[in-house]
Amino acid sequence: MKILTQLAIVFSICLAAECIAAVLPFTFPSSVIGMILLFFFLLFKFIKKRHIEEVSQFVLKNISFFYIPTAVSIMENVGYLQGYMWQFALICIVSALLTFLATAYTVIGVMKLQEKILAKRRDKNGSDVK
Amino acid sequence: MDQMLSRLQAILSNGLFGITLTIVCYLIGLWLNRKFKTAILNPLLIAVVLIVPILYFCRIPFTVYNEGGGIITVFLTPVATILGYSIYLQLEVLKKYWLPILTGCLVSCGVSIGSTIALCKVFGLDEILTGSLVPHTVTTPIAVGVSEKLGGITGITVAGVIFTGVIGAVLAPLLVKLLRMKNAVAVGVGLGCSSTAIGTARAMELGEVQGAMSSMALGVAGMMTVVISMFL
Repeated sequence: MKILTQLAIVFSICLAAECIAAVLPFTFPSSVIGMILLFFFLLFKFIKKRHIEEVSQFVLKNISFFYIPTAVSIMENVGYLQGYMWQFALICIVSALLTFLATAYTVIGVMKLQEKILAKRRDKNGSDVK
Repeated sequence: MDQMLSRLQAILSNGLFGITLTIVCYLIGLWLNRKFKTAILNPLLIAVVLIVPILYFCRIPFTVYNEGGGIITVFLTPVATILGYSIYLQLEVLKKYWLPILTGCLVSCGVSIGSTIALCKVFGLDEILTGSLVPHTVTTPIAVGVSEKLGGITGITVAGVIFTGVIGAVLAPLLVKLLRMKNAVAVGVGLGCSSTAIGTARAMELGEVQGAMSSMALGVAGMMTVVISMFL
């Protein structure tokens, strides 16, 4: 009963997202609209955490299960990749590592900058007090 | 004999076959992953590596398997929707580090999309393959949506996402050690932005902060990628 109610809530949000996606003048994945909807529903306490907790925890724990059939569908398209195998692998490796380094160093840089600004403000306030 | 074969065919075409095969192979993957605890033995990867040869050697066409597999695929939209719940769980983290997370995610989208398109051009890949690969560093539900929009092949996209995730989950922690990166927030956001959900699972093993940051970045970078891809 509880699980069914939770499923009903999540599925209704998805259906609403599908409707919004159909009405939008540009293509936008309905899954992302659903994600944004649920986030704001939770934020504004329209839905409470306990209303969807069990189902969500189960899904988050087993998230990769739901992609298996899509991944198996590579069987159908493997011909398309033939002759491009090593390029495919190289592109994935190089761009993943580049992205990781660029992101990590951006975060480090921004956090250092924030600390510097904070420290400066503190210095200013400190001298004002004196 | 022919009658037997056609009966067998009818049983296999029943959606239950695809669903059962998927669940059993996933469980084997989970078991191996728990036993050996390495990122390469990812349950999704193991399940695919088991199912594809089974279908191939038993000469079961993909369409027959997909009678059941397709039922599981229907749940991809709700699965992605629930990512909104996981972002909500990280609300405190988001409030504290919103600026580094947002800039990190924005830079990651630029570097990921830019480097992928540039490399595809260098290797002379056509538009369909490029479109399939552009979203390879974001989480699968979003990557599939972006790939469809760009005219890509979703099967190739999912293969790219899994491969990228496994590579990132294995190599990124090595880079962290090599470069002596001590900032847990940076490592978490980096893994979430570059190595999809598999990288996030690895980040959770590295620490609580890394895990929270990674799952946050996974969702945010995904959404940014969708917005950017609208202009491609």
